[in-house]
Amino acid sequence: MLKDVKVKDVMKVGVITVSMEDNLVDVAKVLSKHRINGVGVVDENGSLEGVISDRDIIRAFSKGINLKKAKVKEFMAPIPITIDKDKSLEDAAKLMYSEGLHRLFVVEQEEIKPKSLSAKYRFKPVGIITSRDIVVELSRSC
Amino acid sequence: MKLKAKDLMKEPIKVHAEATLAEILEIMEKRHVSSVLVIDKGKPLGVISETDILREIARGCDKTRIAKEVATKSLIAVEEETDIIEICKIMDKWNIRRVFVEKNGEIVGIVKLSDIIKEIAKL
Repeated sequence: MLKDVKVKDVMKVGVITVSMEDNLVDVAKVLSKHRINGVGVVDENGSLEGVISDRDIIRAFSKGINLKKAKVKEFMAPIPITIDKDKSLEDAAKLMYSEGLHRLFVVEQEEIKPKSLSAKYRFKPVGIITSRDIVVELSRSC
Repeated sequence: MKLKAKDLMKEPIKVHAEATLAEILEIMEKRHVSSVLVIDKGKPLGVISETDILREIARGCDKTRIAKEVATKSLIAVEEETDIIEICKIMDKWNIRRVFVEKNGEIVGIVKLSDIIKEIAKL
């Protein structure tokens, strides 16, 4: 049952990320190479700051924007939705459905040596769970 | 980029309207697809995507439910000559990850968002 399986048991450990300065063709290459729909966006401290998906890229493309000059930071969705690794897959599925998402990040808070007085912690992305993972798990259980 | 739907499309994976959710999940896993086209009496009835599966989980997991109960019964289709920009606009407007390709009233293909991303990656 999905209630009995925890996010940490299914999540992919290690998150593919891009930087805020990358362009959207770079992101398309990453998505295509890894056969994924979206990636985390990290700042210079490695802290998760946003998410950019294939949808963001085709939206820009359909508007005639030059994707090689389009920087991630201008098109990403800030504040990604995250989930605790000890939550169940059912919780993850419900959260994805209610938020209209296909991926949730698992983050760990880490103390960092601040480059500025305001940044004392980073939210290091440590895992990702997608709707695909849930479909696969559901086909085997439930 | 002057690609059209006919250059990007692939054959959709089809399931029968009476197929159970358990059977559909198995097909989606084995064929590595995120959606299936539901066929009823030889005609397309709707599509089942991962979003539909998440909805099924949210309403209580019942793998005996059948395709025609689970499917989203609206198919957004384009013609073979529809260009890639127009397809992107449709996907963005309707918040969808795939469009079907229609010819003479028949579904002849599917264009997925991932196929478009592959082309953009070549820029």
